Amino acid sequence: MATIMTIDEQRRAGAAARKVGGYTELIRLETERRAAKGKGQVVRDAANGRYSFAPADPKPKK
Amino acid sequence: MPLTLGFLASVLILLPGLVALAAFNFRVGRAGARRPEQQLTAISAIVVAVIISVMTHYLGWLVSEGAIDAAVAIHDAFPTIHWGEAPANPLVTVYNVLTGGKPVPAGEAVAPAALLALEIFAILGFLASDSFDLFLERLDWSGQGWVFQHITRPAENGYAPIGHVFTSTMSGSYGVAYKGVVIDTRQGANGEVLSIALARPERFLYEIGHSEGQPAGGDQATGVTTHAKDYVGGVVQLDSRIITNIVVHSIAQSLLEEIVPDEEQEEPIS
Repeated sequence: MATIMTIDEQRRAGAAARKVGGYTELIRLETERRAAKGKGQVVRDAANGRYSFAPADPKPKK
Repeated sequence: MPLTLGFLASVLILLPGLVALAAFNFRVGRAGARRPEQQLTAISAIVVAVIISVMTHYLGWLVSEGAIDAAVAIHDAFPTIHWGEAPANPLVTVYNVLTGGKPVPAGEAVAPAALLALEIFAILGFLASDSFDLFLERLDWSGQGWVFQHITRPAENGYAPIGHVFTSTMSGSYGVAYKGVVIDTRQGANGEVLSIALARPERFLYEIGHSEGQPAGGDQATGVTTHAKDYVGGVVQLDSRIITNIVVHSIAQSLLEEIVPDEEQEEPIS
């Protein structure tokens, strides 16, 4: 009987949730990432320790 | 006696189609989200078996005909060794046996048997292949409904389904809720959820409304307050009797990989 996600994927999801402070935060990050169309990166705010998704700056036109 | 032999012959002829059905059932039955196997009716099973068998035999006939013609052509071009008579197409042999009713010499029966075995291996190889996976990917074969659209399919396409399960274990206005990666669900014969399993969940209290004299947390507009969570770890399996509702969000695996790169992965425990 197979599970939907492999044990490694489960472990990674659990570790990611702990790192950013819960699955709610993960879902928020995913929403932000979708809004930015996947361009950008996850950054940690040093002041309050929260993670957020910073959209990449649009490329300057030459 | 003729009836028995005829039955055996029909099974042999339909074997590729029957093997395809059996392999398909085996495959669909192994999915993580599961509901009872849907029975093929006798009519649709036989139609599918006949169609697949006829197509496979036709392809087998084409391939053997091509191989024999190629062998003959090579022999004509380089006639150094005499290889003997060109063999008949194995499927022609089978046809002659079935219509003529005369027993076939053992030497001639080897080729049809080998061709049948090759056809079966080809069918099994196709059903196990990624191309068949892609072909079926959009179709909800086992009738899972929303579970297919929101759990199985995202999980197969690089997303992690995060399930948020409110349970009916209430005390006053407080209840227990779990949030974690959905790894397994079972569905009953009508598609109702029987159970759901979450890996590495967090558990927290939720409250309908909020206590007097305390600042409201959570969403004030809906009146649902969530309280501090703890990480349970492992797996929690929730039975349909205590599930009030399930909310599923999907998160891209690539985002999880960005947050937890491979080198930061915790060591396997078990």
